[in-house]
Amino acid sequence: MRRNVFLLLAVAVALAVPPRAGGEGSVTCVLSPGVRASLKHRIVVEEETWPSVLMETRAGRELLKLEEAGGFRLHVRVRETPGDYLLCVIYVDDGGRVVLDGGSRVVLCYGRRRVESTEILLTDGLAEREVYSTADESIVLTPSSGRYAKAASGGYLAIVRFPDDSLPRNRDWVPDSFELKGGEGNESAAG
Amino acid sequence: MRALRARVLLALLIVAASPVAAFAGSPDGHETMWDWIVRFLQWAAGGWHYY
Repeated sequence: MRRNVFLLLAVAVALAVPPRAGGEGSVTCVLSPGVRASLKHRIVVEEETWPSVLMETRAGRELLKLEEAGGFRLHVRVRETPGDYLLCVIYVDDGGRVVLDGGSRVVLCYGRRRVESTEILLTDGLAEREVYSTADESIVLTPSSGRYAKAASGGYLAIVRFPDDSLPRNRDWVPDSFELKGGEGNESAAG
Repeated sequence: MRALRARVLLALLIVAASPVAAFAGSPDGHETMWDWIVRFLQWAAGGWHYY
């Protein structure tokens, strides 16, 4: 019986531990009333999207199969467009609403230094068959925006693009705070 | 009840043993089992979508 419990606990822990546990930090800020965003991870483009690297692992090869089948497009977009990228999860509570458009900028604050994003990208689901960019269209997020993919935590998965080599290297990318500027109809953001 | 428990344990054993078998039979011998498990979980959870 104890062995069974141990096995079940081991499986539960393995499923619960995030793949990047013990890795980089993250930062969460309120963008507007009812809207929070969490910057989770700096995307290492060479490791996470390059076919030559993905071919080295079983999981990577599965992703490449997905790409051949017309999916994986957010990854492909990141791979093919130079820039620094952060993975961001946007949480919209009941009554909350945020508009992301060509004028929207995620502004990272490193002391007095500010770094502004150039583009915010979303996708449609796990298979990433569509990519939605603020450079092309307005993106309206409400708690029930079914068009856009959500992360496992329930927030909308977004990739924020910054100019190439604009972010501090390695794990130092985590800013003191950040805010959302612009976006038609958004209330003023609190950093 | 005992038969059910045996089936559950067998299923868990298969799940637990599959990475070992895959690792043993794979030409990618440099991948550690833990790396394999983590990557499998990451893939199963959708990679970036995990968060």
